[in-house]
Amino acid sequence: MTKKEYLFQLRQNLKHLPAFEIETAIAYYDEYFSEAENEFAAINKLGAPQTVAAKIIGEYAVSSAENAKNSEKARNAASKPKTDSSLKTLWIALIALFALPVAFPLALALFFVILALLITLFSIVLAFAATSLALGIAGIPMVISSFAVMFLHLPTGIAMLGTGLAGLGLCYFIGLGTVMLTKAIVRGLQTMIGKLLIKKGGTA
Amino acid sequence: MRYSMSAALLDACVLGVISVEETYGYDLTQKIGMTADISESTVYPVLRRLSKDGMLDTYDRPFEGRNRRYYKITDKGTEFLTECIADWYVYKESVEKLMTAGGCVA
Repeated sequence: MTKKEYLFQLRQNLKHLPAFEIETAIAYYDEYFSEAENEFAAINKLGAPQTVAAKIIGEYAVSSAENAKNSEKARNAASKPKTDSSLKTLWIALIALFALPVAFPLALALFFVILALLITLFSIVLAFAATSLALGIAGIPMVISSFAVMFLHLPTGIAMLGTGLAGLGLCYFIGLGTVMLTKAIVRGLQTMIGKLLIKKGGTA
Repeated sequence: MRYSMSAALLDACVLGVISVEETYGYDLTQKIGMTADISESTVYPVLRRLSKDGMLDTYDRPFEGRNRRYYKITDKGTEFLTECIADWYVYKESVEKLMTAGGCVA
C-alpha cells in the first residue's frame, strides 16, 4: 500500500468524525510517513488503517464523554451539553468497532453481546420513562377533576388533589432521573467502547 | 519487557519528553518506542487529547518544503506533569516495597 492509498483509507475510516479531527489526523500521518526513512516499512509497522482510525475514534469518544461529564458538573447555560451529539459519538464509536479487522466469529459474538447490552439498557430507560409518563397522564386529570369533586364532597376532593399532585411530583422527579440516567448510560457506553477501541488497536 | 505502559503513564511520558525538548510526532514516537513496547499508532491519539485538554500547544515549522508540527508543553501541562511525577514517585516506592520488603508502608 502506498502512502496515498493508506491516507485515503484512513480518511474513509474517520469520515464520521468532525472535519477538524479528520484533517488534523491526516496531516499528522502525512507528516509521519514523510519523516520515516522507509515509507513502506513505516506503513507496515503502523498497522491497518482501520486500527489506526479505531484508536483515534476511541480516544475521541472517551475524551468527549469526559468533557460532557465535566460541563454537566459545571452546568453553565452557555456550555449546555447536547445529548444528540453524544449519541452521535457513541454511534461513530460503534461503527469503528465493527470496522476493525477481527475474526468473523469473534465479531459476531461481540455484536450480540453489545446488542444485548444496548437492549437491556434501553428497556430500563424505557421502563422509567413509561412510569413517569403514566404518573403524568394519571396526575393531570386527577388534579383537574378533584376541583369538581370538591363541590360534591370536600374531603374526597382534597384527597384527590393531593394524590394527583403527588403523582405529578413523582412524574417530574422520575422523568428528571430518567434523563440523567440516559445521559450517564450514553457516556458510560461511549467510554467503554472508546476504551475497547484504544485497546483493540494496542497490540495490533 | 514484562511490564506494560498504562494510559496514565504514557500521558506523563509524552509530557515529560516534550517538556525537555519540543518535538514532532515521528521523533516523539521513536523516543517513546525505545523504552515502552507500545504500537506506533498509540501516540497520535494521546497527543491529540493532551492538546485538546490544553496541556500541549502546537506550532508548524517548515522543513524540506513541507511542515513539521512541533508540540510544546503549556503552563497547564507543566503543572500537570509535576503532579504526575510526584504521583509516580509515591507509586514506584509502594510497588517496590511490595516487591522487596513485604509491603510494610512507613
